Amino acid sequence: MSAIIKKATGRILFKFRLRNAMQMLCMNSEGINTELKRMHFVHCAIPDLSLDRIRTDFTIGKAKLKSPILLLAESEDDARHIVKREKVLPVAFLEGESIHVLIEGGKEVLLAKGMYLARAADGLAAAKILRYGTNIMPYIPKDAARNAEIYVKQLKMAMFLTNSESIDRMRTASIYIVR
Amino acid sequence: MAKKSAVAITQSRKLEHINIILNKETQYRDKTTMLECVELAGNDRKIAKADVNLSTELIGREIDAPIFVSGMTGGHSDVFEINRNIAKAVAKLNIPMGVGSQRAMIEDKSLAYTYDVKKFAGNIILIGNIGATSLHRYGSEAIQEMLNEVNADILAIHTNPAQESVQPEGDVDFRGIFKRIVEVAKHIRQPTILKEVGNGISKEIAQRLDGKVYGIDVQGAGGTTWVGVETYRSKGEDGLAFWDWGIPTALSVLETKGSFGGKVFASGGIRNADDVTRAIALGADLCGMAKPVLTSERRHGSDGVYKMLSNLIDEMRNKMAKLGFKDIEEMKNARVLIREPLSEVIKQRGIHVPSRFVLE
Repeated sequence: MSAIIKKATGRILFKFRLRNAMQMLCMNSEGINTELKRMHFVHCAIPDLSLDRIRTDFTIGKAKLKSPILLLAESEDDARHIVKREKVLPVAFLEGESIHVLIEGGKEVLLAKGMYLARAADGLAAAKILRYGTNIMPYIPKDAARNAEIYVKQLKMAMFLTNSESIDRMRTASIYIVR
Repeated sequence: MAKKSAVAITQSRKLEHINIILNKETQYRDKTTMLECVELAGNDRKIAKADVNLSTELIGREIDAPIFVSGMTGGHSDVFEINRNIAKAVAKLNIPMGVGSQRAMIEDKSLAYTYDVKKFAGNIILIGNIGATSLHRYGSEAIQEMLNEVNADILAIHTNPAQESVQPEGDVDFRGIFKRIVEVAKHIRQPTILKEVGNGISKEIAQRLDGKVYGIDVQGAGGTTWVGVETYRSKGEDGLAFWDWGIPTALSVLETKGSFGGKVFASGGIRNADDVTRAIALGADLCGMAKPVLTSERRHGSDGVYKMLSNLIDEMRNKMAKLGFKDIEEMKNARVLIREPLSEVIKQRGIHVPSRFVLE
C-alpha cells in the first residue's frame, strides 16, 4: 500500500510505502523531513504586506478552516473533547481511511480520499508541507497544542517573507532544492 | 513621554545588538554563502604582487580596494567610539564605510555626533543608513537633512522583514514600502543603495529596482543572522525555525547581477580574501564586511581594524598575483567554474550567467 503526493499539475512527486492504518494517512516523518530540509523558499526582501494582517484561512470544499495546520487527536471522542477548548487550530481525527476535521460550531469536514497528513516540526515546516504537494496537509500531535500559536506565527512569517497574502498564494511561492 | 520612550528603546536596542553579536553564536548554522562553490581560473601569466592594482570606482570617485565596512551602529554614546575607530582606519586605506541606522538621530538630534565621523576620516566615502519601514514615518526632507548633518555621500536604505518579524518591537508593516523607497531615491541628492541585512536579494526584487536605485547590497545568507540576534533578544521561539532563512550571498549576487544594471555589493559572510575575489569574479563591484571589523575594533581599536583590513588587502594582492590578474577589471572577467549545489540552483532559478562561467 502506498501514499502518493502530487503537485498542483497532478504530477506525482513522491510515493511512500505504508504499513498500517495510521501510516496510511500520516506521512512517514523521517522521509518527508529529509525532503523538506532540502527545500528553500526564495526570500522576498520587500514584501507588500503587513505581518500583523496576514490570515491563514484555508478552504476545503465548502468548509473554511482558520488554519491549514491540524491538531491531531487520538480518536473521535478525544477530538470532540479537545475542540471544546482549542482556540487556535482545527482538530482532526482518523477513522478508517478517512481524515475528519472538526471546525467551529461543531461542524465536521471530511478530507477527500487521497489526502494525507504530514507531521510539522514547526510552522516553517508546515509551510513547506503545504508548498510540497496539494494533497498533503500539516499536522501537529495533540501534546504540541501548547505551541499552536507559535506554529501559526511561524506559518504567517513564511507567508510574509515570501510575499504570500494567502495560503493558496504561498503554495506557488518560488522555491529551490539543494541536494 | 512617548517620544522619549521610543528613543530609549532604540538606544537600548543598539547596545544589545552589539553585545549579542560579540558574545553569542549568531552565525548561520546550516547555510553557507555558497562562495565555496566558486573557483576562479587564472590567467596564464606572471604578475608581481606590487603590480596588482586594486583600485576601483564608486560614485565617480576612486577608492583603493573593492571593499568597504558595512554600516553597523550609531545612536548611542557607547557606540560612537566604534564608528570613530573604524573611520580612522578606513581613512588610511581610502575605502568607504557605512554607519548603522540613523533613525536614532532623527528621533533625537543630540545623537547625531555618534554618526558624524568625517572629521576623523578625511575624505572617505560615507554611507548613511535608514530602515525601509522608517520611510513611512519620515519624509524625503528629513532623510536629506539626516544625510547632510553627517556629510554622507550615499544613502543606504536597509530592508529587513525577517529581522523585524522576530524583533520584539519590530515594525512589520511593509505595505507600500517599495514605492516609498523609489520616491526617496528619486528625491534625495545622494545616490541610493538598497541593502538587505543578511537574508539576500532575489532576481525578482533586483529586477523591480533596476533603474530606480544606484546600487544593491545583497547582504546574503551565510554570515550573521539577524533573525538569530533578535531571537536572543526576544527570548522567544518564533525565530528558531527561521535561523537559516535567506538566499546565500553567492546566489544572491548572481540573482541580482543578472537582473540589475547598477552597482552590486556583496556582503553577508565575507570573511577573507578568497570570499572577496570570488564575489568580484561573480560580478560584484565591492564587498562589505561587518562582524570581523567589529570584533577587531572591540579588541584592538582603530589599529586593530587597520591591521585586519590591510592584511585582507595584502592577501587579495597575493591571490590576484598568483592568478595572473593585474587589476579588478581583469578579475571581473575571469573564467569561473561553479560547482554544485550552487550550479544546480542557478539552473533551477533560471538565472542568466555570463558565457565565461562553467556550471558543473
